[in-house]
Amino acid sequence: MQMVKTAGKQLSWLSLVGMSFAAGLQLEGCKSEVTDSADTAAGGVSTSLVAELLSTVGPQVILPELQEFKNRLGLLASSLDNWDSAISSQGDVEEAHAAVQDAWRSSMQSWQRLEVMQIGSLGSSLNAIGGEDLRDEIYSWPTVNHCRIDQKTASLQWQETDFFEANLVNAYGLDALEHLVFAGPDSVCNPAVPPLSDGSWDALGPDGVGVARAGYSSRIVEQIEAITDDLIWTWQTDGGGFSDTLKADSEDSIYGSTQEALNAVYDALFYVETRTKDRKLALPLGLRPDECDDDVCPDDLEGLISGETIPMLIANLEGFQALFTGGDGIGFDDLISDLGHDDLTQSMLSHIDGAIAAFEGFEGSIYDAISAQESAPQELFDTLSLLTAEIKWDMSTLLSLVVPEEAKLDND
Amino acid sequence: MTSLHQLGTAFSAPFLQPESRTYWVGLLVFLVIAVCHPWLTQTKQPKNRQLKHALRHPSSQLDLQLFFGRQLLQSLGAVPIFVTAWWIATRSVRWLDHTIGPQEGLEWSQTQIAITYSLTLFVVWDLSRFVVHWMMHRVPALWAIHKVHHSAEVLTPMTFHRIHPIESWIYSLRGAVATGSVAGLFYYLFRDQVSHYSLLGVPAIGFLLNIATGNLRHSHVWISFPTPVEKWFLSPAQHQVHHSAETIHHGSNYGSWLAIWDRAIGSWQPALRAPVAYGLAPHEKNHDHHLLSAWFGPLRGLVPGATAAFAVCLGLFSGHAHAQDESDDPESSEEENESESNELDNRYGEEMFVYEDGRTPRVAGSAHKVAEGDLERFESNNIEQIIAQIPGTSTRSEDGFGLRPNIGIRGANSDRSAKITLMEDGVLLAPAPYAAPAAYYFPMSTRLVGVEVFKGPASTRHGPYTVGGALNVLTRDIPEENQHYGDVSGGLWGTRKAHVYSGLLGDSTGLLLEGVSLQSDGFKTLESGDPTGFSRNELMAKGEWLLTADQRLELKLGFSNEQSNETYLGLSQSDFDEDPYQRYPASALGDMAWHRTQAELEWTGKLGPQIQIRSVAYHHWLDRSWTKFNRFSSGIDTHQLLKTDPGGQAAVYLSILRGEEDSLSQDQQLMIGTNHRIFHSFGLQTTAEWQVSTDLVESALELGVRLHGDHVQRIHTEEAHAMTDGALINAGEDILLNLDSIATANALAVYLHEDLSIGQFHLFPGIRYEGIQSERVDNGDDSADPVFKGILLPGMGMLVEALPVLDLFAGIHQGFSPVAPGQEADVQPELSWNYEAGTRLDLAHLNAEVVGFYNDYTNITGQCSFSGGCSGDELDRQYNGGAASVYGVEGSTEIRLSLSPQADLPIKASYAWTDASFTTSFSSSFPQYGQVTSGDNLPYLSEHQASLTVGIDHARGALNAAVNYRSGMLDEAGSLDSPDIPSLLTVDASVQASVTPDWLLYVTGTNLTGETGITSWRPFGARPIAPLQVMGGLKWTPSRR
Repeated sequence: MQMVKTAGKQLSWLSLVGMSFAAGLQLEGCKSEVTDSADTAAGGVSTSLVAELLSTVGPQVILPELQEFKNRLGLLASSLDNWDSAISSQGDVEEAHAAVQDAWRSSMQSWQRLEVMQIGSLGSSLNAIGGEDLRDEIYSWPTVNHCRIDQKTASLQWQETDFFEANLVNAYGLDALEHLVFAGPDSVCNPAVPPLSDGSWDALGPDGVGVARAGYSSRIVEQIEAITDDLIWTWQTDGGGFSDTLKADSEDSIYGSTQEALNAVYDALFYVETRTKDRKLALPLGLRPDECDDDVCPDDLEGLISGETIPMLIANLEGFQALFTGGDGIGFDDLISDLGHDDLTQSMLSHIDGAIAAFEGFEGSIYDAISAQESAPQELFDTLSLLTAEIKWDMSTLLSLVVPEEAKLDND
Repeated sequence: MTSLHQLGTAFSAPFLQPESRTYWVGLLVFLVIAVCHPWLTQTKQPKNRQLKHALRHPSSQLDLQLFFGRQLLQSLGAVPIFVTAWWIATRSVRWLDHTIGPQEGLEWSQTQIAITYSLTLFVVWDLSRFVVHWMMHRVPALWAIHKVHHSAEVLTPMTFHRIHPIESWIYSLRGAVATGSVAGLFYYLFRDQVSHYSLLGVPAIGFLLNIATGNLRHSHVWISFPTPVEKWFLSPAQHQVHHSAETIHHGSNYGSWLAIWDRAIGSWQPALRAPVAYGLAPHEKNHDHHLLSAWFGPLRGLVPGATAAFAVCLGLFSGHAHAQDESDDPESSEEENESESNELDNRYGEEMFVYEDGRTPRVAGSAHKVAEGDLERFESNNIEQIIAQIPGTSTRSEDGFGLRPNIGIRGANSDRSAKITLMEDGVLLAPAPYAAPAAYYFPMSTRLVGVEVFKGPASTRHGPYTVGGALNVLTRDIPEENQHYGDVSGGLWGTRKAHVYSGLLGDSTGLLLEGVSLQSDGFKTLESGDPTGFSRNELMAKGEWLLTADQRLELKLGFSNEQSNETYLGLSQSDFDEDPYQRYPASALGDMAWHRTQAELEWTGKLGPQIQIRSVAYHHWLDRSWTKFNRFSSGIDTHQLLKTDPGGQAAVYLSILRGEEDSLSQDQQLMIGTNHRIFHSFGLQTTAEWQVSTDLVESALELGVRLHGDHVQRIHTEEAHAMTDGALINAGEDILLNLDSIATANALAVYLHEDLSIGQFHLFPGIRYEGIQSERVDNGDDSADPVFKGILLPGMGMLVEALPVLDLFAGIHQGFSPVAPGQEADVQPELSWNYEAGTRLDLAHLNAEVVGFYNDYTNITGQCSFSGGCSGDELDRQYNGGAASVYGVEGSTEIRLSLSPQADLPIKASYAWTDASFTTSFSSSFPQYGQVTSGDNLPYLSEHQASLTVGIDHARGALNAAVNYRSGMLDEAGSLDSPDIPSLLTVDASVQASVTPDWLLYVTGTNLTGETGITSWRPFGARPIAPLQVMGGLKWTPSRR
């Protein structure tokens, strides 16, 4: 008798033949039913509540956030002008520079709230409905290239008219600004490549670098302001009308159904799972060994140059809170409660507050804490995981929402 | 005392004998170099690679254990050496004396003889070492043994002795054969001018090289030569590269001294940098660092490997014998060039078509055949070109050469031809047809003599995939008289082909030896100049023994291998528009290598005048390893990245693929994966046909039983690379083991098929049973219980001879496609009810067929593979697609007009209209389905497909032209109103001219209009069809005299 070797088991032909005939009598394989995977309707959720939520997102959540971001960008632009003037007029450069850094922090705080709201054109063209990669045009972290910025600074290419069309996102955006307004006077580039190898960096001198950085920064802020204006117009009802598009109640909507639109908002909320938790915390903590070869990888933290890591994380959670609750309107918390799961609503709200409080209570440098493998950063991660687990499992099950592909692999 | 003396001699000989690598002088030279090298080069070895630390490593301790163990066995006489160099030398001289006659002895000076002898022995010694070493890596059973040597994690001169006793024995045998045969030849040529002592002494050149650099090969002293020198002589560092644990170094530098052998087979690598680590990947290890484990660990599981080795050896020898036979046999026979469909009834009825009086086939349902004559019309090396002539089939090209064709039939997904039943001579062909049906191997079309496609009820006889149908390729039979053939051709892109076969017949025996080699430099280009071509070789041997007038035994052995610099990475639309034949630097490491062995034993016999039985026992083995760009570390969707030509961060990733941007963070690292898979497929199948005929009724009842087993071991690893200055640089991180699993399937298939003829009416009832037990075990997980599925698949066909020249036929059968092992519990098999009805017209110079079909799927399934665009966790998963309907009309016709007594005008045309759509809405993780709305069309299926071939056949030659058309296709389920892949029309042509009755010149041209269309967006990015290709060749078909 020929034996077939399998891992841990021996399957003999005799047993196979016996089983075959036994099963042949039962004909169990003739079933033709197919598991119904086509049901995409929200399980029992009130259609009117969903419609209300979708009509709330634009006017009550995203537009106010965009408006606030625009205001702060205005202050950043003014501070940059002052910095430029201070350098040129031999004024109090340090004070002007510090004001620029504060204005950048303020703008970044505002932007980090919007990071959790990547719906429509803000989203990625690869996986978001209507995505046009505008988020990356404003802030492309973790895709950054600080040496590239030094190269552009020294070559004065930032002055060229088609600078933004001719360059990749790692040469501009809030991430480039962070380098321009916080980096020290030396270039971060390898001495073997420009602007060090060709001497152009040294030729500028410290003041020249400052002037170039201020000018470069101003151009970037102008660009971001323009995109933000477009975004505001896009979302306005009397503008691009995307707030109405999101309702998915007309045939020409880019969303095939209200459920698809609801899922798009849900996808945006997943930022706190895939980015805030996994990319910004789990990776530096060494919890993703495939991507972190050492015990910990603190250099992968966000906002290292500005030291804004923790405020950025808090802003993400605040942005999540705003979108989840729908501001003063209808939010996911209302949908969940409407289904009779007020306990889940309360638990999630409590976990959001708990996570924000935990981050606010964190003292010292998270970079140092992770490097020293202290327990506090891990506790932040654990606290945040309580919330993200509910987003991933409870919310999706209750509201029949599809978890984004990116978040299907649990990296915990 | 004698025993002690023997023991002492055994242990000291490796250090005292000059021919030994570890001769004390050589070791002394090594020590001097090892001490001086860091000082001279101002480099400092890492601590763990310094000699004193290396010697303390557990790996080095095993070196010593194996050395002492082997010497002990030898001193005890436990390792028999059956032959010695002297024995072979004397036999060689005797044989030469007997065969050629004694020589007087050439008058050469002693110096001339010594130099010539040394050079000859050096080359033969080096070549034989290379061949044996290469086989040690390529033959699974030998590799299991050779792993003992490669498991060394640190290298010291004693690592040379770290070999399994069996390997030691094989090398001893090799040394005896190499030295003995050269010595014998020189003694024959020079007789008394040389003594056997000098001939059997130390090979002088090898001795010098051993002393100088031999011991550096197994050490961490990194001494490389300038690359131009390394191209001729392997440096010690190159052998260290050979021992590297890094995937990029695997399969490199098999040679000992000369580099030419490695360059000849494409395994040469320069020593650019010291490997990060040495040894084997964890999943490769078959023993621990102690003697008994190293002795006995490799022997576990050797039995199937030994079978493969046996087949490989026979395959290799058959190629050798072929060449000999070709020149030795003065008798030659004329090949039957007129291989038309009415002459296809082969010697033993292996083919599945039933032909009557030279008419078109009368089978249960729609069936098509491309016969040898049609295959030769365009001398096609690409199976996709052949399949295009068959209505109802679809192909998705990948590499442009058809190395791994994706074939679908009547809506069945074409991905890796996994949804159709693939057979060679009626035996399942896919590497593991039940457990992993993706066809990474497909026979080279140039050696095929027929391609059959069965659709409709005809496919009930050929499972397990009965939804779309079955495709059976026919290999050459042992000819009925002595026959020889040779064909060489060459063309653009450095493409060259050689194809030979020879058939020899005895009174009751027959032998066919066939070999094909096809190489190309490839039509795609890498800016770095790295290769993009391939090399493919296939050997087949068939031997038969006519036991009695009614019984016949046939043994078929096959060996195939391929090395291709293929990648899964295509281009973005904008880059495709700029240059469709460029390749991104990120694809530079793409390398597919596999080898396959095939052994089949067939018995054909008759039990009385009415019952004919055919039994085949088969064993197929395939070991493939594909290294290629898998993904970015960040997990960004590469398929979408290339398809959408995006902005934002994604544009940065695209620039990295292009080599324009460097990888600056972990997210931007490129994961180069090596998917190593080992497949076994084996079984026993028997078909018995019972024919009964009365005045009123003719009956042919066929019973088929197949016991089949197959399994696939998947070992998928990834290594992080950084794009730096346009080149991929290993990031030096740990190798990730993504998958280590074994999937197993055992199946019992039984079918009963009746061909009942009552006057003009023919009925073809049939039923098939498939009982499949499958199991998948992932390393580290608990073993899951085997899953069993049994299913009965009925079918019925009928045919009415409405007129003597016109048949009407109709049929219904249930389609089935099994669930692969290890799927989620909710995954259902693919099931459908298939209907068809049609008519066939058969006139003297015209035949035609029109058939309408409707496949009503209750569940269509998608199978995730890398080639289909899946990755990560999705890989090898199956997905329900719910209900779908596929219907259409297929038509084909063949007209043969006579232009003159010597010239015909054959015209062939086929057309298929297919409407394939889902009938439910659903969301699927299967990338080719995605978000599906009821009414969406199926991906990678053309609505219209047509082919027209027109030719002139003349006694002195032929002229043929073909036009193939397919309408646009979708990359993902959706509406065909906006296809992702545009329609395509290609034109091919060929000219053949008989120079003499024995010699034929031919020129073929494919894609004559130079179309540059996209053929697929899968796996990642746009892929071009092959550009204009022109090949010229010469065929030799010696006439009977």
